Amino acid sequence: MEHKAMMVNERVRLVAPTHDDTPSLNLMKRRRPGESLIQGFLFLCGFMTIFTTIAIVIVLGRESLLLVTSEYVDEGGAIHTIGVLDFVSTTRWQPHRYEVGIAPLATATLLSAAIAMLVALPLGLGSAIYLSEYASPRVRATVKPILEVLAGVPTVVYGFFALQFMTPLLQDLLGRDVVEIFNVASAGLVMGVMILPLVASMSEDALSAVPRSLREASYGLGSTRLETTVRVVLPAAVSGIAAAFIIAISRAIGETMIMAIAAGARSNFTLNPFESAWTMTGYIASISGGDLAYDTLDYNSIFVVGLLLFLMTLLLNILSRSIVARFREVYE
Amino acid sequence: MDRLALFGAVFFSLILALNGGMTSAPITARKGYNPRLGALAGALTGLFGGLIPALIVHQVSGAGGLVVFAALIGGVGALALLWRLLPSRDAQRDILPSGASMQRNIVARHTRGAIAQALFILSITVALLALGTLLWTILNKTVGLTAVQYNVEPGALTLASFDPGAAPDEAAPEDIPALLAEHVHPVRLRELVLEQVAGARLSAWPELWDQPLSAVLQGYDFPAELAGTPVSALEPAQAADLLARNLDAGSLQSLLYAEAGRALSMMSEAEIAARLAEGASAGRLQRLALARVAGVRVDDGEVPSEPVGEVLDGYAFPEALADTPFNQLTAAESAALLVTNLERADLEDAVLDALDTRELDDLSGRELGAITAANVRKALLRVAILRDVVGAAESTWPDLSGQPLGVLLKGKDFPAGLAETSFSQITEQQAADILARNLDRDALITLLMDQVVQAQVVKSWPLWDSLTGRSAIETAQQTQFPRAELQWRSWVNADFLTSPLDPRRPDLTGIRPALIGSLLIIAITILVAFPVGVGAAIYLEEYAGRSRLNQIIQTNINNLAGVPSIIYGMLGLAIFVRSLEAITSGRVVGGGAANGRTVLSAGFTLALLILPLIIINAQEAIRAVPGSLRQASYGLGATKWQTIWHHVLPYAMPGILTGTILAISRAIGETAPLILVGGATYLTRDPEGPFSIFTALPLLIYRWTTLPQDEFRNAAAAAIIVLLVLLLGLNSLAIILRSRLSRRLS
Repeated sequence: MEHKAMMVNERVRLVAPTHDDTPSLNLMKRRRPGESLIQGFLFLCGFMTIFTTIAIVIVLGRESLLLVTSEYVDEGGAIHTIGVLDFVSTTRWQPHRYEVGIAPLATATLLSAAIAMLVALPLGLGSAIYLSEYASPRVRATVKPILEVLAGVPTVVYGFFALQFMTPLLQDLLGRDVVEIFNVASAGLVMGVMILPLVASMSEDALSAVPRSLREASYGLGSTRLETTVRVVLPAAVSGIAAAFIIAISRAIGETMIMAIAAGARSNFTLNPFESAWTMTGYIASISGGDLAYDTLDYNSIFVVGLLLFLMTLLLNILSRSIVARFREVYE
Repeated sequence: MDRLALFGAVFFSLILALNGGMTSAPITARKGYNPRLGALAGALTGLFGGLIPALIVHQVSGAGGLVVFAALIGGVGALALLWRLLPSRDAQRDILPSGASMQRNIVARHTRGAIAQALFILSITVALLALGTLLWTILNKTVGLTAVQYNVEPGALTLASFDPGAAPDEAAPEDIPALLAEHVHPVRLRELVLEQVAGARLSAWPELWDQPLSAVLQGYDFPAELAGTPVSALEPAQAADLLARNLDAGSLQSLLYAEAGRALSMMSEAEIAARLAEGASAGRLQRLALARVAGVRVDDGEVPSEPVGEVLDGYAFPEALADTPFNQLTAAESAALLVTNLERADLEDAVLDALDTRELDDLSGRELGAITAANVRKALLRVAILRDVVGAAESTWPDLSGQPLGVLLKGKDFPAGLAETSFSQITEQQAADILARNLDRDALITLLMDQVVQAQVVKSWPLWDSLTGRSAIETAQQTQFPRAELQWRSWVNADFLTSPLDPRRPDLTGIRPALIGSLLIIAITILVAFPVGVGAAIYLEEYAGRSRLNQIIQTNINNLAGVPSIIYGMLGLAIFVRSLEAITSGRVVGGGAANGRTVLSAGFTLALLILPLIIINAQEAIRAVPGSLRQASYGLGATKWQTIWHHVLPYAMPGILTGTILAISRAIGETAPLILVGGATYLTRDPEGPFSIFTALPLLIYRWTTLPQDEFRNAAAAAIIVLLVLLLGLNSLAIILRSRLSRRLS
């Protein structure tokens, strides 16, 4: 008790300094080296992410550059070089034969992404509309976490699912002569299932963010629930939904394990989804499975593919962000 | 291709039906009809308008593209016709509908709404169904029937074994005859007299069998009163006595121990026939002979009464039995038929079928020791002693083999008389005895199961088939793997979690190195990503102004969160594995791995991968801290860092931890970066620290999923279960943290 009383005394003295011999209080900002040090460290932590981006760009760029500037000597002693134009002007991707037309990988990637989007976008948006506009709070509280579980399953598990369930299903439905064991369609469909919760969750957020008053106004004018949803809520949430769609495409392009497991491992310039084909990610994963020797054509080639992949996903992410920034309707 | 075309046609027809259903309701309402009927008519028109032309074209031309095209054109055309040609019942339309027409309008709009609602429900159902199917596919592969084939049936080991009563060198010589007479089969005892006392070769036995002892054991010690008794008529006690008279104590002791562990494969046909005749009923043996020799299964039915000569036409049987009805055969006669007609492997199989045998689990430690001595090779026994009893590392084994037992087994239980014997000089029986003294029964059984019984899963069936198609599976097993037996098996079990990897045997492989590897990698990931991520979040939320640099950092973090994980793998490969090889391989601290493909590289790579996620989550948690808390702290004179450390962080910590755990559960499942960083899929040793080569759970799943053998798919499913349980545990932790946070806030 005595101690406490003393502290109170002291505080009183600080607030109202007396004129006798107690030192006057310096109210100027003190330099605190410890604090600055901590701030510096925290800034470094934040800057770490910038460093990561720079490192990605440098690594991918440097190795890609090496591909077009290096000279590769084959077993026979002949020297091969790769020209920048070879990537777009040829249509065969066989780096061990010094053929680096990116077209087969790119078509397979886009094909698989398109199939995935056929599944993920309508079903995802449908689920989102159901959860946001139709479902009772109880259903919503049960179903949303389940969808989150679906989103949290590792992609390698989806790969297993594609090979173990989807491929046999497709083969039974369409015939074994049509559907190869490893095929883009099966991988793409399962990838759609994988991305579905992402689309549903992001779209649902966008739909829920539309204020109630808009819906009530629409009902007040005699609209049905569907008309309210389609004519009022969807247009109001379109920026968020578009962003979700674009993020979904970006995820589909960058997805690796499903492709590496179920889409097969051969370079195939085709639009037939029932054949096996290397996607860009599938190529990177399957070529680097073993001990990949440094500074070979194979080693450099994965970085070129990676660079393309990085640019594509980055572009899509930026696009999605700018759509949100530009078209977002802010209601208060 | 035909199927594909029809599939496409059906698909388009369904879409047209859907469109027809939704669009027809208002159109028919406008024309004055019941909109619900209109919706139905539109749906049917779309469906059949698509399907019928498709089927016709399919019959006529069969060209795939045409079929799909016909479906599209037919469906669209039929719908257009329906809407166009439907006569309008209402002559004129008001701008504002009223009365019946307004009623129809409302019904039409609600019909449309109902169809749309069904669609929305359908899509969420499909999503949930997908999750269900995913889990079912995994479960379906994790549990199921397996055909297990033994190299040696456990029953073959226990059929004749008995407890020798003492260790090989310690049985009292005077007790041995009684033990032999009691436990060893009479036929075997007589054979032992021929083999051990007379020293006759196996081929000479049938000839000596009925001769009197005076002829067979000429020059050996035998009681005079037995001189005229043939060997085949010796009583067990008499035979045991003969053995005791003629063998020295050491031979007798090792004979006892050897007999105690004798397996079926070491028995003569005469003994097998005798055991069959004694151990099984005549009816049982008749059925067995019928099934195994003639290939006729009567299972529970009547044994045929036709004469043996007719039933076994073409097989070997004694002439005297030719006219005996088959169901009148005595047990001994049926057993003789089996023995003369069957190959050795089939005969042993039939014996195990007919006779009751004990399980290995029911045997005593000494009995297991005797069986081990008789059936496991000496080299393997020595390895087991060094590994399981001495506990020596594999590299030191060559140095240990010459040591005397007294030194090698100091402090362990071993016969005192062997202290001076060199380890390399001990016999099988002594080695097995040492194992039996020092290991518990489970370890001995494991040794026998691994080295002798060698159970192997030769085929597996999914859970669904196992539950519904049991009889089909039994047929398949009997035709493909007649010597195997069906067993239920859960591929996730204790052994699976704790065993090392086996690249060839999906039924024996475990995931221990991968589990350890995953946990080590995650530990490093957390150590790196958590402080840096939280630090960055604090900086961005508490310190950063709205300067251009800070905005760039913020945008950049959001972009990084969208970069595919495989790109991080390439970053890790180029930077951690290659450029920083000296550090990540542990060379700077001495020793370590040969290259940078180590746990450390993998941990760093995954840390970079989840860093943006941790930052974003932590930022949100910090943003949720009320500003009044900070102001109160400043008001009391705290510095910025004091405020953050003592007030903001504790308040935000549950949220930060929740976000971090979610990010970590993402990292645990990541596969692609680990492939690039160079995770192995087969390791002989567990990862020991940050500088060892590694494998991880998702890598194994990837590897096993892509291997051709179906049983590895079972192992992959089991590994997936382990991974999902791990993730579920982490997520539950996050949920608990979140609920504690909200409780504290309220």
